[in-house]
Amino acid sequence: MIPSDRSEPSIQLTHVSIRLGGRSIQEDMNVSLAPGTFAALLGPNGAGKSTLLKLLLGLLKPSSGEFRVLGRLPRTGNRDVGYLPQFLNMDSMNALRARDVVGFGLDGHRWGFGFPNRTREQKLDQILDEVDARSFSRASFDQLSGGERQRLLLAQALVSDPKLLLLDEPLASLDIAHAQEVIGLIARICRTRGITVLLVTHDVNPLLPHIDQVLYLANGRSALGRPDEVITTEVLTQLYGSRVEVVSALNRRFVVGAEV
Amino acid sequence: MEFWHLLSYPFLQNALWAASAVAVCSAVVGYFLLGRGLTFAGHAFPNIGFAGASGAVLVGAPPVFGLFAFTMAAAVAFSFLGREARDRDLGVGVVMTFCLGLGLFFMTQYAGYAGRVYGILFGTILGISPLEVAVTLGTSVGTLACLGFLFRPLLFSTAAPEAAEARGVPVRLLSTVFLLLVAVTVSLAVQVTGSLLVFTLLVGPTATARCWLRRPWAVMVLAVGLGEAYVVAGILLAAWTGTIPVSFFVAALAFLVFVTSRWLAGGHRWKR
Repeated sequence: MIPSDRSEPSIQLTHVSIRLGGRSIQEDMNVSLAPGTFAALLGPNGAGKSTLLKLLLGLLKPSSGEFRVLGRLPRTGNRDVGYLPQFLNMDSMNALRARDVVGFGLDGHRWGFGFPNRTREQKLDQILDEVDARSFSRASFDQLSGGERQRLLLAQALVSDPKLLLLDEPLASLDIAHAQEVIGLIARICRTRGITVLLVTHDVNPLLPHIDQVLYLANGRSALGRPDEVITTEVLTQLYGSRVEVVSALNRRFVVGAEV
Repeated sequence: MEFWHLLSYPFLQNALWAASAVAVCSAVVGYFLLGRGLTFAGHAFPNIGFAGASGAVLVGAPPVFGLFAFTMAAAVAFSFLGREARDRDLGVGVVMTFCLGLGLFFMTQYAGYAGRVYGILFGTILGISPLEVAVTLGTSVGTLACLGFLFRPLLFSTAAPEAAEARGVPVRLLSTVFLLLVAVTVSLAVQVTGSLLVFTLLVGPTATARCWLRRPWAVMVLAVGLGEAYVVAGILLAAWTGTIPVSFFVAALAFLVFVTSRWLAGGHRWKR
């Protein structure tokens, strides 16, 4: 998808540098994602994928450069940005019902107890339907499969009707079948709602049929473009600064060499 | 002595009022303490408070002032220790053992009546004054009101801290405020059980309730009920026997009910 002049980019980074604890993570990053784009965020461990998400969420500040999320400076508590976290306190999560997990996204930040009311319950049912989770909405979190849990976390991120979804490794602990199911759901949500999705992952292959763009971070540099433009021997060799070979087989792409 | 006749004694009514308030606060605080993996800090607070209380006794101030000062200072210190459980527990342990040493030092320097220090270690609930009861009730109500106000963000940031922070919950501030509420609750609970046995009221009821129930609300309600039962039974039994201290009964009941619950419920919350 090519950014048009008429619509403002969902994410725009101009000459952005990121430093974390004195270490330079990214230099002179330039990224523009048009509304409605489904993009994968790739790169080796420590390349700054999660750090970039934290910057987009307003949890960290960039060292230099211009940073825009939905046309404004990133800030926490922005209901237009939905976030699926990687870290959960399972001990506490396990005691919750599926719909309570989703409810956090609606009013978990509000003070007080929050008493049940019909509008809230309807909103939760509606979002649970959208992620096909209505049937287990009263089950405990620990009784659910990995795929079901990710669908609930997706619902939690979606319940404030965001324009941008930031998903931190939603496929991390899923087998292929469940990963496919979650990817299909994310792609469907991206298209039907027309929202921008940036998804952190280690394996791009199951995503290849669905994504528009790849943002690849490595070695302090970044590359953005269509998967077939970015995941190539030439681009990745330049990015890593060492010999990297992209091998294609059975419509899948494998990055070989370097510390990938 | 006629058992039910005991209830007409003012000292016993005072004890029941104060201990009941403490039991409610402890159980609710205890739920979040377990959920946030802060049980070791929960164990450290009363030991730190012991140093404060014996220091206060040494300078001739009411022990409760020392309790509040030391535990609240520790709460602020703990909030800087970070999220990593191992680092945090190391820091907590270092602070706790230093404070225990400090408490020992204060205690040995104090030439007066040793019973006051003994009271800090094992509780003085049967000797609680009407003023102390009023302070305990007021502080408990305040603590519960704070917990009620913080309820949803506290639960959210306990379960999914990163998501809560992104949603605009002031996670770090909340964590500090929660530790301060733990400090206040512990300081109140020291009067009932003494600093050595605070853990029984703080963690015991929630740990037992989690053998049977799961939902936050249900666990809290059952934990409050259990905590109440322990202190009321402990106070009545202590007064009835006349020689056995309250904290022994509270600790023994908490232990027996916990062990029985683990055994009967098969500890489904604990198996992995």
